[in-house]
Amino acid sequence: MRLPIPSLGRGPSIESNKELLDFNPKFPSARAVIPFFALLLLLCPAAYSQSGANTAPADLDTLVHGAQTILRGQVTSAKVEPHPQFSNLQTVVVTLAVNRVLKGEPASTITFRQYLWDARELPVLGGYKAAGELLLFLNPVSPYGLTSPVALEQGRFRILRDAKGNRYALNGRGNLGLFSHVENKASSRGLIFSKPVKEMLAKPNGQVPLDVFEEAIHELIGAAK
Amino acid sequence: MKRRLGAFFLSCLLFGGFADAGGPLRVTGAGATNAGQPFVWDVSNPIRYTVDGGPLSVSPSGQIVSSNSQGVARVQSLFQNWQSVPTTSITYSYAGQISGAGIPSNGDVKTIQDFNAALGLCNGGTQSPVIFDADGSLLRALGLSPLIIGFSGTCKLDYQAGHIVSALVFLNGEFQDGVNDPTTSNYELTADQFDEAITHEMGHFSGLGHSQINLDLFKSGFAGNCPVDELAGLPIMFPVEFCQSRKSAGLPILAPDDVAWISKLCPHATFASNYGTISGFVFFSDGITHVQGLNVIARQVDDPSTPQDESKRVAVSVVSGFEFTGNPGQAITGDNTGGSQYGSRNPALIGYYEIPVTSGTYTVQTENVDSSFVGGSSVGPLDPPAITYGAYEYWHQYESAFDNPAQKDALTVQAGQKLSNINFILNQTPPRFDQFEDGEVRLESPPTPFLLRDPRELWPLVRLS
Repeated sequence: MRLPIPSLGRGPSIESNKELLDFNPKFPSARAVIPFFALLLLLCPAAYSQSGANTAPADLDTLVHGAQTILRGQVTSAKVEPHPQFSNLQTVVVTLAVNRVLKGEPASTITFRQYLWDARELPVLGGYKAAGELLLFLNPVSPYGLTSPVALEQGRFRILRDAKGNRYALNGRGNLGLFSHVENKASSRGLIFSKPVKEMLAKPNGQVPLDVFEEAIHELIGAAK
Repeated sequence: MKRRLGAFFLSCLLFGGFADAGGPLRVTGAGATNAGQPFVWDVSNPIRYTVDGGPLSVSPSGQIVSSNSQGVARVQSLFQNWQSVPTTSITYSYAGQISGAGIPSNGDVKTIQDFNAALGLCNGGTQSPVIFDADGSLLRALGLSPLIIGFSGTCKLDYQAGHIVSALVFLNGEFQDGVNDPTTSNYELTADQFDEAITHEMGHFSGLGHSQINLDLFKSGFAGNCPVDELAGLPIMFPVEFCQSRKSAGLPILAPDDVAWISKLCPHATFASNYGTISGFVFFSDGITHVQGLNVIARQVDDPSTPQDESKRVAVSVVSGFEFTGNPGQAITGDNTGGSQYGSRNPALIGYYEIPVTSGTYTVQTENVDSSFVGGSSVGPLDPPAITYGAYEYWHQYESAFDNPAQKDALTVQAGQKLSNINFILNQTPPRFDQFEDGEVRLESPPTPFLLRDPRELWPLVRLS
């Protein structure tokens, strides 16, 4: 049986995540602390990928190349259930309200099913429950209706905000090695990045501005065509 | 304000992830005879594992690159990395090919149907399979990335006894097929890199969680040639693989932290004559409230007479509150009433840490778990990790909330010795709720300076009205 996943359809409009303030090692004012802790309250239950897997490092070009779908959206539901055909396979079915599709068919909602290999993941619904806004690079959907982020935690980015509302993207490896050799690969295909993208690509790790990050993704998708 | 801050800390406790400590992968919960104990295998007998009957790796054209017998030998060799630690009693035994209902007669698990059958055997607790995905096709059928080198999972636990009953390891043989062609999503690793990745998974199979040591290597963006002293101390159970292989740098495949923790979880009779223990609590600035989720590292003091830096090379860590649950549950929202089935509910363990170390002189320090280590990279019981003010501190004998966090005293540990109450009091942490908070009660200000209070000693309460 081929499952209709990811199922794309019209969904509700969504609101962006609550504000996240940058961590300040000096104890901040009460005014600054309140939204900071409020957001941390929201983030506390979140977990973002499966445990017990070892993945090879993937740079941004590899993520873009390997993904069938790249989108940013808000997790609206996540539930664990056995695979409908293969009952020993536990899976998590995730629905997101889509903010932006960078690769793949446009949609306002997306639902996908991901295999979970460790039963201990079940209490946190594979890490998607209350995960907030995510930028996902999703593998091609298998004939059995299964997909997952490319390179797992490397292809799943949390969207963070600072006090000024600026948004940043950070994956489960702290973006370590995300931009290694990307510029060389791109230039070999005749692609020249803007100055902000070049500056971002020079970073060895750490969160990056979302708008610049999405610009780089957009350029790499175009260059890959 | 105090209420909001207290709510933050409380909610992190309530909603935090499952137990996944820097030492053990998970610990027993309320349903266990002894809550808060690491889940371990019953090592009175060797852990019996079965192995896929197919080749470990085939080329894109279907040529066998690594045969089944070579694959079995490699698996045995990699399990041996853990078994050969002299201070652990863990042993493994090859129990033949995977066999049972739904498994092909040759034991070759190639399709998702075969894999489903193998999982059934594992979930039933009858086999612990090691599966070869010779060409990556099984991963793709599962919707997983060809960048996954391998994974491991626990299939069945005995929650009461605290035993791992069965588990699996999955190897992506495509990484060893001799082809490195990213345009077809076929990636390659050196044999040493592949072996280290699978040894890491076998550590999880054996009951080990992730460890965070020499984080500066990761933070500084090294991706390849890491300095050897720091690489030597970097655990194979570090959440992310990013340096050159340990073997290529002339190092043993296991770091001191890996050796210490497999020995602690499954101790051999020689463990007590080789290891001592450093233990204590981590407190917020009030000196009584425990801090869960801080990484605590014992580092051997550098010996200036050697060219190596022992403080980088010999280090063992654990996360405070590793025996306490990361998710006690709450009955307010209706979807997390019981919380996690893992971890003790004894509040005396919230800030407790315990580190096994060989004889020597050590400094002990605390730090935050890196904020990017979430989900599959998580370290310790809280996922995502809590970011704690004042987390970076060395221990010294006059710990207080107002000390110099860089001041450190060395501790000398002998084999068999247990150094306890090596307690930290963090600086500048925000005020907290007390357990009797009702809106009309406040804590008296702590005496200044204050030192190492008994954690069971409550502060006097002052009623405001």
